[in-house]
Amino acid sequence: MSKTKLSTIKDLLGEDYVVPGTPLCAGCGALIILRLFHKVLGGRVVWVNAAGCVTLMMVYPFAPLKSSWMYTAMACAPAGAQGIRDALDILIEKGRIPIEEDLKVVVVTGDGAANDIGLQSTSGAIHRGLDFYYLCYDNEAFGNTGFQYSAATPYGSRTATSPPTPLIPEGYRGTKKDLFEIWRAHKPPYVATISPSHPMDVVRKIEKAEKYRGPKLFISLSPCQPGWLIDTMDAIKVAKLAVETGVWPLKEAVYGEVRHTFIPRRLKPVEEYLKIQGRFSHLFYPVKRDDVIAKIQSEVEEYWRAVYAREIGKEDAGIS
Amino acid sequence: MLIYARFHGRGGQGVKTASRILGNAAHFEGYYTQDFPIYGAERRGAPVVAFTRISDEPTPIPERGYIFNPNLIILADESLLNDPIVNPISGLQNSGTLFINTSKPVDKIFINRDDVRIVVEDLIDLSLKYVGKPVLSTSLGAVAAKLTGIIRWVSLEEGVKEELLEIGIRGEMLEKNILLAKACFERVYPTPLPIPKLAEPRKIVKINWMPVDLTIPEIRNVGNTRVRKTGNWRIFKPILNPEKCTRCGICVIYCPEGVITMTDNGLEIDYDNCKGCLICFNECPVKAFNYIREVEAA
Repeated sequence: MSKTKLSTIKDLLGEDYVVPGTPLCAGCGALIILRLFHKVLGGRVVWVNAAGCVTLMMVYPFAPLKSSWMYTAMACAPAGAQGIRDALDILIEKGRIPIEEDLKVVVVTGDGAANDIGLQSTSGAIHRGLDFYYLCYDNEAFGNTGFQYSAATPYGSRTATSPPTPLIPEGYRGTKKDLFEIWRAHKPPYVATISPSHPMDVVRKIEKAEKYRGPKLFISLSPCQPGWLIDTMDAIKVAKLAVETGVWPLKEAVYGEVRHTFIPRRLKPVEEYLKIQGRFSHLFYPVKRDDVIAKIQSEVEEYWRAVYAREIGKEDAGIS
Repeated sequence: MLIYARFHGRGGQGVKTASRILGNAAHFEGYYTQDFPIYGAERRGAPVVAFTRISDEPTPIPERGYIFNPNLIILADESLLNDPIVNPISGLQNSGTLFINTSKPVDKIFINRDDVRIVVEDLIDLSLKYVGKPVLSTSLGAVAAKLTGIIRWVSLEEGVKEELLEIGIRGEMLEKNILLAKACFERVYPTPLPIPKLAEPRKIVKINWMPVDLTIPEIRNVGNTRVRKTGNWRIFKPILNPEKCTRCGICVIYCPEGVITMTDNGLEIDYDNCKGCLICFNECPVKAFNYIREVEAA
């Protein structure tokens, strides 16, 4: 696929590199983003996958990808990517494969591997300047094992290990780890957050990232029907609301310089995002927990005040 | 009297909860009981198995582990009946009971056994009617409780309440589920179940040394999942109205499975693999999609 052509949705309808029949859940958000990512990167890709939901695509003897794929343990996907990158570089240098047969190395992990278990090997790979892509599909918990909380779980979410109880009625009490800022602190060439609901934003970010040599990192929101307790058909709707309410800002950082690619003209109230998800239903029923909702809202507003001030020059531009 | 019940279904249908509802009901009836699922990676739509053992004898249940010789099988999804990997009727005892959740009448069900009793009921229809969602946990549990023949309605009601409260279903939804359980409980009638055979002790298989390249699986035939036909996961079938379609391509991008392709003649949907998530229906900007229940489409 030629890179100059991708200007509208219609340019993305060409060859698909992920075939149907995967054993992932119906409506899986991670699969939407993986399919789109693969389409933009093209066919010459090798995926390095740490243990997670997406690993289940490959159940021996079936493989839905038309490209190559390698499985690693949860902690060491970027280390696996380093090995593949080095091997490809050596083969090209020795003339054993022509340079046109070079592959893009893409790490794909869930938020569990990205935020906790695999953070050190990612940090090492970014520090070494490894030339690779990293796609983290963030469903805000360990979805594959039954939705236990991870470091990416937001405040107030119900998970298998943080159920709302009379003692802790708000569910998960911790806060979401800011992986974007952790990665940005390494000053890699490119870090971005993406959402499956905004495909053209994803396309532009990948096209931009392709120009740089070094780590190119992406964090994608990934709606998870069994964990978030939403209807299978609502995956995109929820992802859209996450962006429009400001819970999931779409941004990029080039060598540490942050820029927001989608600035909502007026932020929707977070309540709209929370109330269609079963994992936040305890904030609405049996008693509406206005204090918890207000806390989530104020955190979002605090973040956006700084963004509006920096990028528009007016602190409360989109806050009603 | 021992009841060895095995539940087959797909992840997300409520098979595990059904086995727990049956276990709870038997417990409230005063019997010894065990209930447990086979746990793997949780995925909606993948085949799942759960078990319940019930004993009304004064001694505890003598067995542990998977049930290989059940006298009652509850099949939540008819599409699994002839699945060679799941093989849901394996080990069912002579004159045991096989319950199938299907919209077909009993004489349209074909299995290669003539010594078992087959019971059919369209529980999805009942669930949609009473609860509004195609979730089968309560209805399967209620049907299973009735088919054992030893559980009264009061115990089942307790069991349903206990289990659903635990997973956070309260208020109006709980009331609807109890009504559904009552309806299912009255729909079927039990016959005496055979006495289950206790499993023989298993032999320990010694695994010999193997070269390391044999133990690392490699898949060389890439892109072959299309043959797995995930179309049988579907409960609702999306239907495209080609006259309304503007060929914008939004559904092609948003379809997680990639079953919608743009051709020169418009959109084509690969129903062999469509899992029926209905994101296309929800996201189409001109509302060109509609959906119908799978049984009505067939």
